[in-house]
Amino acid sequence: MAGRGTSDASEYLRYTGLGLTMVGIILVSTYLGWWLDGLLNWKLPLLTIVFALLGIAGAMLHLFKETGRRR
Amino acid sequence: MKALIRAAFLLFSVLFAGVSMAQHEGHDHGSDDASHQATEAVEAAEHAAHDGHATEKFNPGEMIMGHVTDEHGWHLWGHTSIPLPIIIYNTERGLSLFSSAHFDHGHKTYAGYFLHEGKILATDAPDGTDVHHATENEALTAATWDVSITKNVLGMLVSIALMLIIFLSVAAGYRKRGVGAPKGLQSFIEPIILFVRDDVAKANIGPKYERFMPFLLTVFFFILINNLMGLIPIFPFGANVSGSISVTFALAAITFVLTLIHGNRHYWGHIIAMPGVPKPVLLILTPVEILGVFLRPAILMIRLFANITAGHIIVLSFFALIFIFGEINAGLGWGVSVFSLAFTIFMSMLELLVAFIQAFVFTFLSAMYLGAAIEEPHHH
Repeated sequence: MAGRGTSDASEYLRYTGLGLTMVGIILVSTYLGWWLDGLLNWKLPLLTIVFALLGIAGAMLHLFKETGRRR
Repeated sequence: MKALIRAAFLLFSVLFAGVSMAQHEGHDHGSDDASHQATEAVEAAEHAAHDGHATEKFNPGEMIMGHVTDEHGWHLWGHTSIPLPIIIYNTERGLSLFSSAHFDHGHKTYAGYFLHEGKILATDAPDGTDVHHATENEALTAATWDVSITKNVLGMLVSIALMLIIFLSVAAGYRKRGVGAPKGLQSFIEPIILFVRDDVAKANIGPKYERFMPFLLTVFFFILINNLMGLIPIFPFGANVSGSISVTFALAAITFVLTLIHGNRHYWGHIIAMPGVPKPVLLILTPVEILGVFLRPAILMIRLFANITAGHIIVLSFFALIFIFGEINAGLGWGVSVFSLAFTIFMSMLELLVAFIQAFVFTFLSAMYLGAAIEEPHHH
């Protein structure tokens, strides 16, 4: 059953979880910032903003790493 | 093949949207007190109507969730259901073992326990008390471990029996005929085993694929058989085993633990400090990669659960439409039933495809993660 068709399939499958992983990274880091903000109790939710931005940066880095040249 | 995969992906996203909405609705149920009280009032009214043999309003949400979620006892039709053993271990009271029939479909207390929305709660009320008059003993409920043979557990045991029958006969075939031409069931299963070996294990893990073959084959056939069994609506099939988040959690956890055990220096090196990446970037990348180690199996768990459960919900929704329209007008119900049936047949065909694809995707991604964990560094 091995053939060229399945190598196409694996090319797609390799990246199936990528979108959800990126969303997961942003959500987890934002939640972490929000939780830390709860400890600090400041008026400005600074850490939520910072960690959300870091999460977005991290998600982009993850995207680069996963889609880059295979080692 | 390319077009097929693309179509399948489109389908996944649609199905995923559907189930997340359904989940949301389920969660909202008991979240705030006002809605909770309202639900209780409705329940009480329904109960009164039930006792008086008045006509019950059809509740599509309840019907669908009842079919998709696990339950104590196996509902067949109307008020007929097969009782299943209830096994409870309570750290205060010790072990209790009795039939779920004693709960009288969740209406009565027994042995100091009662059912509330599918969960077993402890109470001090005597046996046979109506659940509406029983109050929960929260301290005792917290000490309760419910290890009952539920619908999903029974469904899983049936699938294991089925797998044993299939694979013992296939193994016997190889013992008798060696590597010669396969016969009967063996000739049906052999191409699938070879497919998992060549296109899943060898393609992702490389030369050391052999030690992961037992795991990959077991996971593949376990998911495939449970997916297919879930499509057959007759007892003892039809339990939503592979669409139960507990089951998919256990499967994903095995993959997760295997990657942790087999991960080599090269694998961890790339997670902790990706070579060739400047230090400041590592400050962000390393936490993200560590997070990724946990996120990947989590997504594996959610994908299988969501796709299979969504398939069940869609088919059940088509059936619910018949009764929703039937309540307005009997003729309308009959008319809609034609379309419902046609769509159900179409969806079932699609689900046959999804059953195979989801088993393949889970196994393929597991193999991919394992392959990444044991990969040896390339020398340049």
